[in-house]
Parts: sequence; structure tokens; C-alpha cells
Amino acid sequence: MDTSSPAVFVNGEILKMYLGRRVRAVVQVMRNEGGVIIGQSTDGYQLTIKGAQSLPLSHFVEVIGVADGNQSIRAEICTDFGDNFDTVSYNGLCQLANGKFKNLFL
Amino acid sequence: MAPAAARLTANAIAAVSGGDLNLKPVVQVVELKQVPGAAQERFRALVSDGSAAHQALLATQLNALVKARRLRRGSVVQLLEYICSTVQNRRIIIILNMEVIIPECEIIGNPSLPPEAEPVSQNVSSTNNSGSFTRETLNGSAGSDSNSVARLVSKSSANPANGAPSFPPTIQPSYKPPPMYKNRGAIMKNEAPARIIPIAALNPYQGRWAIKARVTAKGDIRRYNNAKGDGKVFSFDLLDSDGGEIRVTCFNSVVDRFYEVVEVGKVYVMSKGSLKPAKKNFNHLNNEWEIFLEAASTVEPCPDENDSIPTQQFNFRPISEIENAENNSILDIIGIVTSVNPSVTILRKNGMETQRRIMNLKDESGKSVELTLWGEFCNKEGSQLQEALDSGFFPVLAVKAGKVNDFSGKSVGTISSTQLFMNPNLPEADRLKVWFDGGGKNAASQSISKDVMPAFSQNLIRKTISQIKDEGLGRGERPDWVTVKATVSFIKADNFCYTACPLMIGDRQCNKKVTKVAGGNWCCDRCDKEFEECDYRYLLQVQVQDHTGLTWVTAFQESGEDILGCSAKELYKLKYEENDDIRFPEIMRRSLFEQYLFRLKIKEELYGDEQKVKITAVKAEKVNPSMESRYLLDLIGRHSV
Repeated sequence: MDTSSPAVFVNGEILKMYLGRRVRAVVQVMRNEGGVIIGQSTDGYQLTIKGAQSLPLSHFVEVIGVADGNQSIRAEICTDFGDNFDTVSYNGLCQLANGKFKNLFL
Repeated sequence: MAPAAARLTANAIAAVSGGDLNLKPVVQVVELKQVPGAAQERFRALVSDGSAAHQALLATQLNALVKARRLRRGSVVQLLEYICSTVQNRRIIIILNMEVIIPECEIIGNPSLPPEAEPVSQNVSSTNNSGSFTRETLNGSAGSDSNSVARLVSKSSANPANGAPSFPPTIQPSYKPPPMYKNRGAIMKNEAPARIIPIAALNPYQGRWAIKARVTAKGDIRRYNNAKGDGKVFSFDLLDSDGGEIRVTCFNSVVDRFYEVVEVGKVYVMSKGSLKPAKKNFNHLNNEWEIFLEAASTVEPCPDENDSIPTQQFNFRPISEIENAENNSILDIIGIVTSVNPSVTILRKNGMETQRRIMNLKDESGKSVELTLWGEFCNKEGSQLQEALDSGFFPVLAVKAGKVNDFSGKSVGTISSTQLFMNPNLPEADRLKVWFDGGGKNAASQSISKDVMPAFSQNLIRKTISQIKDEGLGRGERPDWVTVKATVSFIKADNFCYTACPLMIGDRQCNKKVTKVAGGNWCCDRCDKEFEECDYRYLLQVQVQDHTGLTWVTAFQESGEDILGCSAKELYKLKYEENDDIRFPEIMRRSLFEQYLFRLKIKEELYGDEQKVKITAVKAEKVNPSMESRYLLDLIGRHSV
């Protein structure tokens, strides 16, 4: 397992702190626009996912890629998590993983 | 070292009795005595500035200084808060707050008393009359002298800039009130207006006073019958802009005057009531006094001012603190209502029926408490809360003056002076809502009100396996009920079930172990019957593990089925009748390494001559990742420093 460049758990708020770095986020698919997914992050921000294949609307997708804008990610891996996902818990995780317990993750 | 006399503020006495309340002078106590015959312990003193002395009365909060001998004859003190008042024609300095500079000192200088005074040895504690005394001297029933006195007073009050008035000190001058006091009040008739003072400064020795406050609670008219005949009484509570509170009571004809006038939420200016010690049994406000309104009392509505005085004042305690509260103590709480039970009719000791309704409140402290509504509350607020819950909302409820009851754990009940506020406009309410919606809803919380196994899944106590041994669970008189998240690591395949009696006793199955008799039938000792087919019920010995350790638990029918995923009867057939060597081990194997939330009953029992801790799994719930995540998030939040 390649641990040289760990992806940071982010939501909309935290994404902008990691521009240019590898991040992972779960978003809910709102629109598909030919190679780009517009998704809602777990804290309600609208994120643009570039280089992603089309996925079913309102499904949750985990995106691992590089943050290339305050609200966009250049995707490397997309995984369909289905339509049942607890955004509140994920959001809590993002906050803890970048706050108090950052040292456990990065 | 400077001479002692230099330490006392020169001419302090003249300044203070002339009305300077901001001076904060350093004076010496040249005499200190207890007031004889007073209802409450009170001390009076003679204070001196080295050349003049004056009578003073100590507020009761300073009693401790005297009793601790920090303050005695000779002490040099600085007067920090004090007022001047006229009691029975004499001027007295009432000291509210002071600092002892030198506890013991020789008498400085040669102070002389003011001209008209002997030391006040009369009954200073007669409270009702002080107000009327002042009125009499000023309004003058005694003749022309008094009239001129009255005129003098009103003139100088109209021109406060006149400075020190030139009349003898027996008359109460009008002085500039210190900045903290509101200098407002209608100027009526030819009397100097009573100045509005904070409720906290009210005391029976206060000359004329007026307060401006909002009514926070109003009681019903209560009729009674005693040796003097029939009577009626009602009370209402006041709150002013400094947060001071006081109860006001009216009797008989005074009830008629004011009952309609006084409305909850409105602001009034009140004056000329008498002050008596508060009855702490019924009056739970933070004030040692209570106001009694009389024939001469005035209560004027004040429609203009609505913002400086809060509508209600609370002193909320977190639910976790209620556990340590004394039985019958009165407190305020606020929490989210998580459940409401229907009303039940209860027969009281006096033969009267009343309604009772129980609900549960939860807050961020991780604890929940039972709130009991009595009487009218059941129908009014109780129904409103029920409606909210039925619609899927969890309302915030603030309780003012609830009573702690320690019958079963600790719970809170309403009393006649309780007030309930649903979804109040308070910062605490907003905070609670944010916490609840953000995960608090699913957070486990322990009820402080029950000591039997609670039915709701909200009231779970979480433990790890090592805590069972470390905390000696099960060793008490009653069994401990806890929830443990653990993984099944082994299930004993032999004797996984027993033969049970299928007959019904009432609405439950007998379930006693049955034995086979000669004819091939089963026989139950309890039911005293024989039958062909018996039932099979699980009696699983399961080994469970978590990150702290491992232990064995016994799983009966329900939890056994949860773990194995099939009934004991099916499994018995598979193993002993069909001898299925493939499917039976398969079922056993696939149940391993599943994580469950086990509801455990832990009790130490005697086995032969050994005490062993027996753990029974009453329920085995597969862990729901979403709910468990929320629980953990909440736990992390609560335990982080």
C-alpha cells in the first residue's frame, strides 16, 4: 500500500486548506455534466469533480484526487457508495481528522 | 508609621449623614452590639471618623464578620456600600458592605455623638412602621412645624443642585442618588418622589422606597379560614433590571385592589409596602425579604419601559448535577423532551384526584431525567409537548422552580409555583437545539431517574469488557444492566439448547426444563402435565471479545436467535435428527466474528460455595454503523479536553 501521499478527509469547508494536495471527500451527486460531476459535500457546499465518469443522481460517491480549486477536485479514483450514507458522521470525521486528531491521520 | 488618626477619613460622619454615598470613608467602630429582640440576628455599631460618631446598623450579610471576631470594637474599616435612613426620627447609617482594614486598634481621637441621639436601643426591628413614621413626620399630622418641614423637603428635592440643605439633621434631606440607582419616578402631589432602588437593596430599615420591576409569576387567589375568620391571599413575583427578585403578597381587601391590576409580563412601579422575612418553605426566590402590600401601598403600571428588565430569570443546572441535588430542593432545568407519557389519574393522600404525566428530558451532560407534571400542567403544557412529539419535533422545555424527588433515582416534579416554557427564546435553548440536531439526538444518555432496566434505547450505559471486572459490576444488591459492543469469538456447540415446556401460563410460555418419561412423552413439573412435543430454547455459552478483553456470556432464546440467525428448534433438528455435518457447523461458523451491541445483565451468584459473576445477554443487536458512528462522535466530543 502506497502511503507516501495520504489523502486528507475533507468536506467543503476544509477543502480550501489543502489546495494542491491529495484529498478524499464524499459528495452526493447533483448533476452530471459530461466528465464533470457537481456534488454536494457533507457540509452543504457545492463541489466540482473533474475527470469523473457519470454516476447515478443522488448517489454518494467517494472522490480521491487533487484539490485544484477552493471548490473543485481533480479526480483520480471515484467509488460509488450507493444511496445510503451518513453524511453527519462523515462530516464529524472530517472535522476531527483535521482538528484535534490530525496527527492520527497525516 | 503614620499616626492612626490620619487613617480615618476626616469629617466622614458629616459627609455621610449629609448624603454622600460615594465617599467610601475609612472609619472606626467605637461600639458594637447585638440588637436585642430582633427577629433575626442583627448588629448595630457606632462609627467614628476620629471626631464625630454616628449610629450604624450592619446588614445581615456582615454578621459573619462579627461572629468571626474580624470586626469588633476598635476595628478600623472602610465603608464600601452604605445608605442613610431615618428610623423612628433618628438618622442611621446602614452598612451593606465594608472591608476590615485593621481588626484591632485603640480608639482614635475623641469622637462625640450627634446632638439628638442616644444610642438607638428601641426596637429597630419594627418594620411596618418605619415607612409610615417617615410619612407622618413629613406629611405633618402634628401641626405647622411639620408643614414647614414638608415644604422644605419638597423645595430641595426640586432643586437637587442646592447642595447641603441648612435644616437640622432629623429631617431626611434629598440627596443625589449614586449613579447605579435609576433616578426616575413620577413626581406627584407635593411629596418628594421615592427613588427607585434595586430590589436587592430593599430591607425593613429602608425609609421610603420604590421599585420598578416586571411580574414574572402570579399565583391564584387562595382562600383560607383561621381563628380570625375567612381570608384570602395571593402572591406574585417581581424581577428588576439588576436581576433582583422578590415576592409580593396581598391579604384580604388588598387582594381586591391589586389582583386585576397585576399582570404577568408587565412592568410596575411599586412603593409603600412593608418588608418581612420571606417564608422559605413557599418562597424560593433569592431574597431574605418579602413585600406585603397594604392600604397605602401603590402599584403603578409602567407601559413605556419594556426592554431593560428581562421577562424571566433562570439559573439552569445541567441534568448531571441533579443527581447530587438534595431531595426537595428547588431548581431550574432546561432540556430536550424526548418522550411524553399519557396522563394518569392519581388518588392523593387527601382523597382528591389529580393528573400526573411523566416525560423525559435530555441535555448535553449525557444524562436524562424524568420530569413529572402534576395537575393543570398535564393538560396544558403536557398536551402541547405531546403534540410536538407526535409531529416529529423534539421541543426544548425550560422549567423554573421544579422540585427534586429522590423516590426512584432522582427526578424533578412540578409544584404550584413551577413555570414551564416550551421552546423559550433563550440562548441555552438554541444551544440545546443545535446540539440535539447535530447528533445529540442519537447520543446515549443515562437516566438518573430509574434504577431498573430502562426500556428505551436512549438510556444505555456503555462499558467495555474489562470494565465489568475492574468496576466489580454485578456485586451489588441488584443486577447491573450495561451495553457492551463486542465480537463473538466462540460458541459452544454442545448443549446449545434445552428441552422446554411449551404450555402457556397466563400470557407467557412456561419454559421450564422438561424431562422425558417412560412412555416417550415429556413431563413438566411445574405444569404437572405430560405431552409429546416439547419446545427447544437456546442456552448458548458464547465467548465475546472487545479491544479490552474477553468474557463468557449466556444467551437465551431471543439473543440466541439474534446471534445464530435461526431458531433453537431448527438447529436442534439439524444436528440431532438430520445429523447434518455440513450445515450445522456452517451456521455456527458464520455467526463468529460478528460485532454486536450486547445488552448484558450482570449479577454475582452463589454456585455451590463459590461466588461467580454471571453474565446474561438479554439482547444482541447487530451494530448499526451509522448510529454507532454518531454515538462515538458524541463520546469523543464529550471526553475530549
